[in-house]
Amino acid sequence: MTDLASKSREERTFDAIVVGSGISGGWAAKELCEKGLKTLVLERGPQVKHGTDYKTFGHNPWDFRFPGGRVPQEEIDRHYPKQSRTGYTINDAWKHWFVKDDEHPYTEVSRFDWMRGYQVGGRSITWGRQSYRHSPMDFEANAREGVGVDWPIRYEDLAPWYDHVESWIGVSGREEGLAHLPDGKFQPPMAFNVVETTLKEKVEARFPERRITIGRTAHLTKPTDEQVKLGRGQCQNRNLCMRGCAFGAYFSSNGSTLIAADHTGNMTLQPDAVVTEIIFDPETSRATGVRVLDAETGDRVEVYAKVIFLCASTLNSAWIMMHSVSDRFPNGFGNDSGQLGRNIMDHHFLVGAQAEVEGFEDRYYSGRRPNGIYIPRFRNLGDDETKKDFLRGYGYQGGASREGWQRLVAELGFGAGMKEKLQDPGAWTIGITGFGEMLPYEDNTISLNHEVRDIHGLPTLTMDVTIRDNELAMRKDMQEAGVEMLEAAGFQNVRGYERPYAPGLGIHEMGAARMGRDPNTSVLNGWCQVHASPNVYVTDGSAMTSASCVNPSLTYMALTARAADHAVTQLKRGEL
Amino acid sequence: MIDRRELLQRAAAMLGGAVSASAAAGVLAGCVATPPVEGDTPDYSWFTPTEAATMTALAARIIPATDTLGAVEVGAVPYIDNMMANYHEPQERQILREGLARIDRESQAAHQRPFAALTEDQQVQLMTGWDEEAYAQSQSDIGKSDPPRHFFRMTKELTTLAFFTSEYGATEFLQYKAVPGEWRADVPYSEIGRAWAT
Repeated sequence: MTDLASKSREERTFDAIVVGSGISGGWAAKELCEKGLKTLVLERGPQVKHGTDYKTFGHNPWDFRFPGGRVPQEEIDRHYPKQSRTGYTINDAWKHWFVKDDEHPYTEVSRFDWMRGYQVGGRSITWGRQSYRHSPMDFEANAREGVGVDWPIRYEDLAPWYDHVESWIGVSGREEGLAHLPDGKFQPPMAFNVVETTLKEKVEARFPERRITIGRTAHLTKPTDEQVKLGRGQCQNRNLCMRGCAFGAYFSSNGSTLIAADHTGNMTLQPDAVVTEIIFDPETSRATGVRVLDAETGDRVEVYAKVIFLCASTLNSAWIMMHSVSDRFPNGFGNDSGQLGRNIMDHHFLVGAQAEVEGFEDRYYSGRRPNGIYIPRFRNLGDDETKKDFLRGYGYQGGASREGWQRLVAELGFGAGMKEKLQDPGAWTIGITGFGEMLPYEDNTISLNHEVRDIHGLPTLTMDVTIRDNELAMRKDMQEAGVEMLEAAGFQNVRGYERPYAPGLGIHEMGAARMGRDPNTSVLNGWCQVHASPNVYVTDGSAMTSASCVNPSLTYMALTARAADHAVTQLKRGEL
Repeated sequence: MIDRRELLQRAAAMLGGAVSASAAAGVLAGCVATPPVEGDTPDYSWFTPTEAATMTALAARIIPATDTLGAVEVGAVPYIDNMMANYHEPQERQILREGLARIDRESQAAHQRPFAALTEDQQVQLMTGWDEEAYAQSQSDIGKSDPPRHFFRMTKELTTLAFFTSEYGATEFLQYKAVPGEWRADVPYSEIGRAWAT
């Protein structure tokens, strides 16, 4: 419950308001607070205190109400029919980090998988932690190919902010010197196992344009003094990250940015506060604050600030803007262009190749590396050699391991002989999955649905998003090139696979309020400011003008830190 | 740099001073499969007494006690009972229930006794037939999106899962490290000597 309603208007007035406390909101909070702004952080979900609120952190498989954390089918059917679609999200180990579908429904014109969690820290608790920079090519592609609109920024604009973010969060990775996957500020890389090393050697020898590297992941492998002071420690290789990490070894808002923001004394963090509208003053063309609904009591209250950061996640930031209707903005806040809620993107995946690997039975590993291998994009790099019959490209994530005790269930046999065999690890297997860029299509939309209401009685979203010919052509290549590489490595029983993919399942929703140079065709400018209301910055995935094929969170963080710096400079100049 | 011991202490403190992970898990531990107590008559919520006896015999043959404990000894039957009562879809419950009925029918037809009362050899002989049937079905189902489940395959799966997610199966039969600390990417198997549970 919030106590905002009992406060005076003065007490409800801040320098800055940040909506959302996930990856982007945490960064906005830290940067704005460190630069001296009294900042109110509004989070729609409950408090999650770093460490103490990771309630399954220490569970062994047999410590759950059902070993392994399986959730009863009836409970899944009632609360999580959509949140369970990944196959891994609804488990007793971490299902409390995901919403209940019956409380937060949405409507699908065609299937859309919207995996999300409403709590302090948002999805920064459960994210995949893979951290890659967009490349110069990514920022130029739309303009060069006439797709969507041009990004209003270039790689050079963001590069120093990537440096800033990587150094602070801690990213483990290896420098590769690739123009299309820029190196960053890395902590020591995690190691390949013997089969992954073999794959690297064979594939790089056969395909000079391809590279196999270790995943770049936001885990501390050699914490800096600054990180240690913040209470963060080295990765312990449990690979149970989604439960929350009391070691603070991977980056989350709870264990990092929100702690730093709190240390400044400038942050007021308010959980259970659902932002419903942005308040706009047409005379000054500025937002004056936001309306908040108390998630527990239903009380409504207004809070005010000079600058507002929308970091509520792609689709929910767009929801707030679409729900903020006024005489000036009859079609949604800042939506003069008609682009709000359009150009929804994700990364398409669930296609790749797998193989069995003979040999290396005398080799094994110890520990559970929370990371895999990465094969950076090698298609359409600007030369004839790499040009394909589709635009853009894809990268692969994957890894090799030895089979465990599950392997004999599908085989013939049982009894003492099978039992004894299971005491040793099985054969090596390897799998790689492509993650492909999805183009921005204007008619891939989300819209407000006033018929279907959520637990607070608020309108919900309807999604109408599909992949098209370019993605389908790319998927074909993703499978073929995957097979080709595993075969080149000399592995056995190589098979391609493709499972049905629906947008959203990549959990990389992007677009909805794109940046651009022209207010007639975009919602945000090159600083993530709403064109028509420059004291509102939108710095989560909704700002993305194109998707690249790399995991996007690092870019949200860099965009947010850059925007926060801009906001404070503009405030000092009196220009907000 | 912080060492591992200090990190563990810090994590334990954050968990409210819990000395072990198991203790911290106590609140949720109500349904964990636990080894049966000698002389205790288990109170099943899904199995009939006849079905429980059949399942006990099946589990004992699938992962028998050898010089190490078997599936029955680590509590596989109450585990499967819990799974059926609370976790599975009605359709899967029906497959197992019909399968258990079929087992006794075929046992009666072949030996005029319920399955649980057969000799181990007789049990294994019948089970080998069902295992082959399940395997043949799985081979002909390759490529189908949602093939029907075979009761014997289900039985094998459930028994295996029960055994290897139990504390004994994970920590004593195999090996398990709650907090590995290091990632050692390439180690001779002879140094490790046994499969990891996870």
